Amino acid sequence: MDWIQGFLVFLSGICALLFLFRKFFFKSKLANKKGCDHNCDCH
Amino acid sequence: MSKSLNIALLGNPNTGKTSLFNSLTGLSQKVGNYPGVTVEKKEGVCKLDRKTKGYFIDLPGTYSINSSSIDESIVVELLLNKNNKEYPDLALVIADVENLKRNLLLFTQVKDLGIPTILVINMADQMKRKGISLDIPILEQTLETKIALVSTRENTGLDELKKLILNYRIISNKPLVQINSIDKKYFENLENAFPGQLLYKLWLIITQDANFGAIQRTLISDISKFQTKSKSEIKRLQQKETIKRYQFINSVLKKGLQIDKASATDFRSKLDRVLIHKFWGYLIFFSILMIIFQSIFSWSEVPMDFIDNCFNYLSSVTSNNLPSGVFTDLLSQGIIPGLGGIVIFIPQIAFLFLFLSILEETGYMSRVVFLMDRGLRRFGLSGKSIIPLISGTACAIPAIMSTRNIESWKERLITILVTPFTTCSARLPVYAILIALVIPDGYFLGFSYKGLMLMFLYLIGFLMALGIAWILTTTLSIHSKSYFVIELPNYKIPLIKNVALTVWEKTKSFVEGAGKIILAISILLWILASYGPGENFNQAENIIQKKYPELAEKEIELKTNSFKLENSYVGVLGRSIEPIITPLGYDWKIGIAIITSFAAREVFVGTLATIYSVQNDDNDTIKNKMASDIRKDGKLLFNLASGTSLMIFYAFAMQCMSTLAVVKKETNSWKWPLGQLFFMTILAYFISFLTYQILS
Ligand SMILES: Nc1nc2c(ncn2[C@@H]2O[C@H](COP(=O)(O)OP(=O)(O)OP(=O)(O)O)[C@@H](O)[C@H]2O)c(=O)[nH]1
Ligand SMILES: [Mg+2]
Repeated sequence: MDWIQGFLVFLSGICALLFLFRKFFFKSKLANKKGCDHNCDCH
Repeated sequence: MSKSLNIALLGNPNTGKTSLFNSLTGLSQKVGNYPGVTVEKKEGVCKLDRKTKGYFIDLPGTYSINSSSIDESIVVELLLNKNNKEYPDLALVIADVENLKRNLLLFTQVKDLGIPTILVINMADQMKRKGISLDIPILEQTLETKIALVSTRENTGLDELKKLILNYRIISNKPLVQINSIDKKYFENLENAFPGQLLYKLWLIITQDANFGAIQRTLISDISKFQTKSKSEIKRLQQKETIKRYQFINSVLKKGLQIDKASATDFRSKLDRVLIHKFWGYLIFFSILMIIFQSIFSWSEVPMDFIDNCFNYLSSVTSNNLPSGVFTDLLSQGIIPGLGGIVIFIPQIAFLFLFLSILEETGYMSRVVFLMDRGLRRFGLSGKSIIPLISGTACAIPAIMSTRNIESWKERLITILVTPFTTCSARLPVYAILIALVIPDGYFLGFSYKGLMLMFLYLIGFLMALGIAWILTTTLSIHSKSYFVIELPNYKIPLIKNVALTVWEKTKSFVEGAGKIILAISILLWILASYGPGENFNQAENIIQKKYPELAEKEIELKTNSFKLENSYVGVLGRSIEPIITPLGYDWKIGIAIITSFAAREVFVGTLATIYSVQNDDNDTIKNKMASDIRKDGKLLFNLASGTSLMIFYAFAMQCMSTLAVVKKETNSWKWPLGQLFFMTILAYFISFLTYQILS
């Protein structure tokens, strides 16, 4: 059981890192394309 | 085969273009009762009949097509560039029934560009009350167009409008005003130099300020060779054109419009006299603010406590019922408290947006602009700067984008630079938790200290914005003209639907936007707080047991947890920056929270929540855990001095990556955002330092 829990923690950590990385480094390229809502750049 | 039509929605500011756009396309773009809400092009689709799709383009409002600000130039560029794939097949000029005369100026200009143009007269619901009657057939005949009388508020006339759009081909595209009549000779030359081109279009390109970008360059470069007149001559001709158009419009309206003054109610001017009065106006404005801050605190207390308890309960249910292990700990100590740290602020955020959108929808906001204009000018801002400064209370990002309707580049730049001082909704959670911790209960003249402190924080943000603006005006040597045209929109009873929608959308995007970041940061933080390098972390239990052999088991456990946390990865990182922030009264945990909250300020609370639950996982609320934390010197960590210093830090520091990105985008250089970042951080550090030293 222990290794499953450890693995899940590891997985969440990787996902979180990837998410933040994408959000703050690649965001500017993604954002402009779609006609997004007034508040979309906030956060 | 299905067809598609490009349809541009044009019109003066605040005539209901976006409202019409929303009704037709089912989207929900921002609507507000003041000029300059829309500053970007927005697109949406509407099925007009079984075979035809309409691509509607919502545009910023313009008074004419002689543009002076960036949002207006968007419109001109669209209309002049036939090669643009969004070039409209037809244009709808939306006019407000109460200001037809002014609205028709733009209509005649657009029509003279040779684009089939339908006149949409909006706000038909107001006609009866204002005693207005229109002779539509006569107007259609003299304006050589089709007219749709609609009310987006009551949803009338939209079907007729769709029919008119489908039959747009029957509309004549002959010019209404003969442009060459203002200077026969000049236009004759022009016509000979560019045979086959539409005269009015050539004229517009000549009069367009060359600063404004990418209008068909080839045409322009040819035309600039054709400068046979001086700048002032051209300006004079432009004025002549405007006068000609108004003469035409007057003659049209004489036949087609009647206003029965007697049946119009004069409620508005009476109310205006009080609301923009030099003394009463300010008094009313401050009272309104006061009431807002009081209610943000007192009304949301009950729901907030409820949410706090729910998350605690959830945490303990999770840790008791799931198989024990590291992932369960991550859930119950990292993710759930972290998310709780944001969800708990939903009531306050929702109240803030509720008040803001009511102020906007009633038309009161424009009175504030008017009221403030004189005062703001002294600080180098324009009356229009107040809109970014006020809407910055929601979020600095849309606020900075809304500076696009400020014509003067200098005023615009200064507004962009000082807007982040406005207290945005992301600061509210930080203030709320700190105020609850360090400001005592009690009342002054019937106002609670807590509410007053919150108001004070909003005020110093605003005053700092003014002060910095003043310094920038006197030091930046950029010269540009400034104009001021603000119209006072009519008062309107806010539509509950609009208000509810705004509150819902904004709150949702607050929670979703911040929620994802907080989720990610809580996970990483928990991991970094639960593992650590070296002996101290791994041998924590032994070390503590040796150090305090006489303590009871429970005490030992608590001490071990703190010791472990201090030697975990975050602990090591935090303690390495501790020397920088100790003079401000903070410890390493606050230091970590300041770093993580650079992603978004509201992450502050979630970060502390996660750190504190790793340290101490009994079932207490975040607030209580924070309230009982003790510093090395035996004082409470969150006391009046350190808490106030921290609030001041958040009031002045930049602390927001997304804002930096937007400033970069709007000013087109890294110079301004980076300067802003350094300056604001140093300023914040300095003032917090003074605050802490004075109060402690
Ligand atoms: N009484 C009445 N009010 C309306 C109607 N349509 C829109 N409004 C109100 O008019 C105000 C302005 O509406 P918007 O749709 O934001 O106007 P806009 O033309 O997009 O404004 P800008 O984007 O600033 O150019 C809002 O307060 C609307 O609620 C209508 O048919 N009747
Ligand atoms: Mg609009």
